[in-house]
Amino acid sequence: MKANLKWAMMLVMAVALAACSSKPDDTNTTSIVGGDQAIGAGVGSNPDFDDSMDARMAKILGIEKNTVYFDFDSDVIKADYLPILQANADYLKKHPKARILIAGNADPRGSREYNIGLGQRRADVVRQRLTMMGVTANQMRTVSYGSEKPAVSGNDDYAYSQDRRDDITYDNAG
Amino acid sequence: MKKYIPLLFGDTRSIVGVGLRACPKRATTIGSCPYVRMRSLKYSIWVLIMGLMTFFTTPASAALDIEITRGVVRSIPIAIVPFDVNNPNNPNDIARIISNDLNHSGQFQVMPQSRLPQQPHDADAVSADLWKTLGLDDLVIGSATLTDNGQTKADMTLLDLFHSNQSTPTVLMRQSYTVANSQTRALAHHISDIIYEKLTGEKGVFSTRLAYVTVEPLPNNPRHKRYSLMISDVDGHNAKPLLTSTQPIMSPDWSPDGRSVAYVSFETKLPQIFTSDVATGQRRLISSFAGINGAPSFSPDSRSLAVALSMGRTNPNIYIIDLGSGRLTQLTDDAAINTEPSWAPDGQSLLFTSDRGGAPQIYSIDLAGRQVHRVTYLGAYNASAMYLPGSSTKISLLHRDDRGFNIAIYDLQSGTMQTLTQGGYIESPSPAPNGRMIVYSTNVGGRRMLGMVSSNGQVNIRLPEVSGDAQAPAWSPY
Repeated sequence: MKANLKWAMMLVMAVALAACSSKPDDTNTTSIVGGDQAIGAGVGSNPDFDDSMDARMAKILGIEKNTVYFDFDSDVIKADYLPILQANADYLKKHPKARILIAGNADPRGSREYNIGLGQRRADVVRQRLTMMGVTANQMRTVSYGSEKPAVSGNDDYAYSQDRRDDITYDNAG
Repeated sequence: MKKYIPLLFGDTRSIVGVGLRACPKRATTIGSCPYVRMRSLKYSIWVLIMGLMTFFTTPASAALDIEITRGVVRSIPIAIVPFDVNNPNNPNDIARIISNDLNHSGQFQVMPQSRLPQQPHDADAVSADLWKTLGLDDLVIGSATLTDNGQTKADMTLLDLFHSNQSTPTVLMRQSYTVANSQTRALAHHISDIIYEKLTGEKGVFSTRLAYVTVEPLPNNPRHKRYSLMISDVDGHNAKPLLTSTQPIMSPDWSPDGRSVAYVSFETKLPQIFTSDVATGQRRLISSFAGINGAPSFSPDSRSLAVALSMGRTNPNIYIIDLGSGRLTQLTDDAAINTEPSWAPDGQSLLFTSDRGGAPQIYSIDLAGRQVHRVTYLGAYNASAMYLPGSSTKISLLHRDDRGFNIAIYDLQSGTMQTLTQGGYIESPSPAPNGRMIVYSTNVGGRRMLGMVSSNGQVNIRLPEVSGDAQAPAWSPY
């Protein structure tokens, strides 16, 4: 375990060094600006979002929306959402090159970093369920956005119920 | 709805506290402070007048100014005469910036410009009696003129009215400056700092900065957001982005030397921890492990970062990354959320948030023995703890009770919890380097804005609006 960590850390440092020695090589969507400089290339001018991909995949999977909602303070998958997970599992098994990102989210109340922990639990229970349904591990990544990407704005129970969710998106449809 | 709530109507209880005002540490002019009770009646009347004037003279367009949502009367009455010799109504006048600063500190009551009985630029021209009848303790006068080569020449005099029995006020401090025109705001904050220190005995924080995150819809794709890591003056002015991204940015934390900020960026869609040099923008990738990379916190010696890492598992644990060698040390190892590490002032232990007991509470771990002990028991939810600067026994934290999520101070010695805010949708408390104020993010009409509350709970202010939401503030060191 310790050796692994050391190795991983060395890798991180190597990446960091590489980033320092070459010119900034960031994605189109992130711009670094110095303290006294004006903002660089506007991020709004070059967005890499493909919302149509999500809609297309939902249609292929025969579901309305590739989202699993959770109760307050819970990471239990409700039976209502099992058909969605089964549709994803069937597709992923048929398309071994397909890759998904399972993004866990929390409602906006409380500590942002603690909410990252809650979102990761929600992402991981869906990954575990898909594993039980036969999906191979390397087809799935998880991330927690905590309360950083609320589904709707607002501070009421309805908004919160929409925020506590996992969004499943396809990085690669296979 | 009124945008500006006058001081007197916010918290009527505090009027009772007039006679309890702490003595200013103005050792050069007074030894003790037997005068407090004597002056309290006059003082109350002055404050009443001030409150009413504020009520009637507040412009509707106060959005650009700091808004005081709750105030107290237990503060020092002072007047700042306009500095600009040619245009006393100059909105960028040094005197106006000083007035905002001092009002905003909660330690002062600044007389509105419209009520000044005279506007002298020289001490000789000050008629002390005119001011004393208004109950003022202190008066700041000065002048600011442009030179031919694009500089500002300014001088400032701090006068004591209360202790001068003659018609000539006592000069407490006199300073002259010549600065580039672009530095007049910085100069005004510097003057605020020295006035504050002279009259309260504590260091001012008006030249410090804030790091925070703004979130706004993308102009051409409103379903998605633009996240910006901003650095601004502590009054919200001079805001500049250090990083912008279409993916979330979280948890900025200042290095103790004030030169760099550590933060979490999801620009690859996955979280990574970076540090960025605030002056140059140059940055360094610190942590990019599988799963959660979060909650960076600089050690007091700036040599390491405490972080929360899940290492591909579900629950994050507390680690320390040595920024020189890259060495990683794991501090906690259990199946609970362990996050938000924050260093004790001596660097020997860390506070952190954990739900190992079933709900989030504050724990402490000492680095030598790795002994963990639970710190908070009051309430079902405590998180985001930080030691209050200047104190090794008080911590600021996010505390949930029946009014929602609020900022509180927990006293480790007495075991008492004092809730400071009443907003309910509050998060991300970060104390000022003098421990006097705590900046936080709150919900106002569906948007997130930054607010500050004094650590005694008596003053609550809201920072100027930004475009979009403002969240995750971090107060810089001196």
